[in-house]
Amino acid sequence: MRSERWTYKLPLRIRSIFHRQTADQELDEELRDHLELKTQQYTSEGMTPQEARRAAVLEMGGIENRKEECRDARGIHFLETFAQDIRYGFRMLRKSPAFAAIAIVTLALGIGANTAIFSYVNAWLIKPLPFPQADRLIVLLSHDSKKGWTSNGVTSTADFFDYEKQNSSFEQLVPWTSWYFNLTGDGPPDRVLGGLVGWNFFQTLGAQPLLGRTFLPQESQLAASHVAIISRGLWESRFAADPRIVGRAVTVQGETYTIVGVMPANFQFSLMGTSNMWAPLAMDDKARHDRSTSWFEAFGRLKPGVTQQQAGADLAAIASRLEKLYPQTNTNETTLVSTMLFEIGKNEGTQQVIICFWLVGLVLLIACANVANLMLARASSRAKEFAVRGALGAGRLRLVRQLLTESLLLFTFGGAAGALFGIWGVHWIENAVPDRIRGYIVNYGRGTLDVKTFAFTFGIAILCGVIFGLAPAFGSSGFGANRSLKETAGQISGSRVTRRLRNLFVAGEISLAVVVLVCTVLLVQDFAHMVYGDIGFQSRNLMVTELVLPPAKYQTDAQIRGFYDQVLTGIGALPQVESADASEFTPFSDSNQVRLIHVVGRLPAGPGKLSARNIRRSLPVIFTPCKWCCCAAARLNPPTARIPAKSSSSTKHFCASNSRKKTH
Amino acid sequence: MSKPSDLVQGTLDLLLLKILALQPLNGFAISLRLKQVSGDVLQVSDGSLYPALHKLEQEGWISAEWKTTENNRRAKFYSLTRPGRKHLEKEADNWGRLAAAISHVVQLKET
Repeated sequence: MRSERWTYKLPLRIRSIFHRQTADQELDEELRDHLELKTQQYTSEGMTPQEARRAAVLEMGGIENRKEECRDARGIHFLETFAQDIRYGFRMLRKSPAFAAIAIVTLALGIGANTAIFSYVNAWLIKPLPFPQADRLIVLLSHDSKKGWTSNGVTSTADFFDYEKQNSSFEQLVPWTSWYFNLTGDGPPDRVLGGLVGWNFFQTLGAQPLLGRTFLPQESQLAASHVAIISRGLWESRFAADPRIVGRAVTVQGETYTIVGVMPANFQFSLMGTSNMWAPLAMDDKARHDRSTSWFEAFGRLKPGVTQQQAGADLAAIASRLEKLYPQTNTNETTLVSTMLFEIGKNEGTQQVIICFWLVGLVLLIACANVANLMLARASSRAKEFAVRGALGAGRLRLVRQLLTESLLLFTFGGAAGALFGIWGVHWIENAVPDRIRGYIVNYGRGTLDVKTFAFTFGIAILCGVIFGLAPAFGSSGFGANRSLKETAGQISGSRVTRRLRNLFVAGEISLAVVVLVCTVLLVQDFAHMVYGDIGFQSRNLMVTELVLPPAKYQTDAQIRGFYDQVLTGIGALPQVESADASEFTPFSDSNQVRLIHVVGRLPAGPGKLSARNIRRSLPVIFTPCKWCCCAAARLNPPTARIPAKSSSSTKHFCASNSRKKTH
Repeated sequence: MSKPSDLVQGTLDLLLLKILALQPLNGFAISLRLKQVSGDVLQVSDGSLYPALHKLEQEGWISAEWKTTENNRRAKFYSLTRPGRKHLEKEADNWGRLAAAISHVVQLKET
């Protein structure tokens, strides 16, 4: 009923606004028609034409008044006044270009900063995962219930396969780990960052390849695992976007791999960081039954209708069964679940984005207070104008409305300029993100400039326009007409209310500015601490590089040791280098491994004592240029192990110091 | 010219809706019909007729259409819409109740 009524009402409203002239013409015609008929009627009753006409008009009670009443019935009086106020507002802005320019630039800075940061809030918080039904993606975390430690990664390889077989909550569970690939053959050798992933990795995420296919189940068997999927970036940069890339053989780690697919440019798994190549995570039976170490992480996709809590309970039940079966390795160990959304947010700086959002919010408040102050100052110089208009019969609300329209106009311009400034700001931030960490940042560090972002921009512009326009509007429309008219031109200091408002704005601005300043200094200090702070060793003049040895060529410890001895001797002989050394993992590098450490003479005394496996970052054993590591090494005192025992991953890092001799 | 004996607010709307419920008419015909049906008791000036019609139109209770009359003139004809008919029924009920209540009060015996 209501909607049906609107099918009649709406066309009329539209007509009143856009076809006003036609509507007016028809009104004229209708009333003229009536008068003519009425005149005819009176003439036929015996009046002279003039008398008849006069009587008809009299009965109408004034044609123009009736027309006005009919127009009022259209109910668009409000819009007409609004249009009038906007025209007037334009005129006022043109008349004081300096004021308009300063206000618009101020607002553009405030609103633009908000637009830029909001585009990141939009990218990170509103739509952070480019996967279908991303809320069903769940990350597994290993947890030591006795110590309360929680870390990424599964409790152990064998445990993972038990979880995979026994759970009833997940459609799929996917193991994955970051990996380096040595890409040789066509072109210069390249070290490509990427990952070893379960065959169902892409399928579970819901990601489709650009070319070719994703992995097949049998490819997680060692024998069939020499296949790879590459990113669009690598496809374009190294393979010149070869259209026949699928099926092409490449040399990875000294072995021949076949490329089976290319992922699109927007594919990103930000827990893995920058990744340009993926190969199946395959292992032999021995590795599959390893219940004491783990070297990969895992996530899964919940079955429809299963909640995170149910999945957590399911895995915890399996964990407690495993604890009873394998007390030697699994005591106190369980698995927790967390959403991928939360894990990415936690790891990748969501908090910092929110802090920035608060800060730019304060900056916007300052900008608005500034503009409101300007408007107040200008309004007090317009006191006479308002007094005259008030004397001519304009109500206070009418004046407030007009001032509010003016401020809305100003803020809308500010919003438009702010949107432009915001776009520039987003580009600036995007370019400031170092390539190395881009892969870890949601959406590769790009902001999202979409409808939502711009709706936000103009939304805050209009909201602030109303809020900060109200104070000047009420403050300045309330002049007593009498007093203002009596004031001479030189005494336009404004009323006491206005003065108080202005003081309030200034005080507010200063306090907000102090808050922003303090927050910014704290943030910068924090950052400086991180970069320049004491990390326990001299990082100046230390240079680090990472390399991967192809396992096919370097199988025995002797071979690996031989290689590094040769490399270190070569580097150490360089005149610029003081000393050089190698380590499996360097401090602050992004790879690490869970490892068991047996202390000689202290055998594991029973269940729950094998706690050392929870140490995530294995300690570099010999590391002469770095004091911190020397201390660690001294305490552990394992003088025999120059190169750590053969690792399950063949990743080695070596660290070279090049303390140049200072010339005095 | 005497004002209509101060029609109760909204009563004119009710009258117009009722008249248009019988048949679609143009403004002039409505003014004639108003006089005809109410006699001299309710005098509705032409002045208040048109704004009232336009308001009813904007409210969606009646709709207007330009048609040619029998003597070949173009005229704006008003007719009741479906929501308008429902509105009329409701208003007529209300009016019936109100009139009954008032006449009951007025006819109370003075003691």
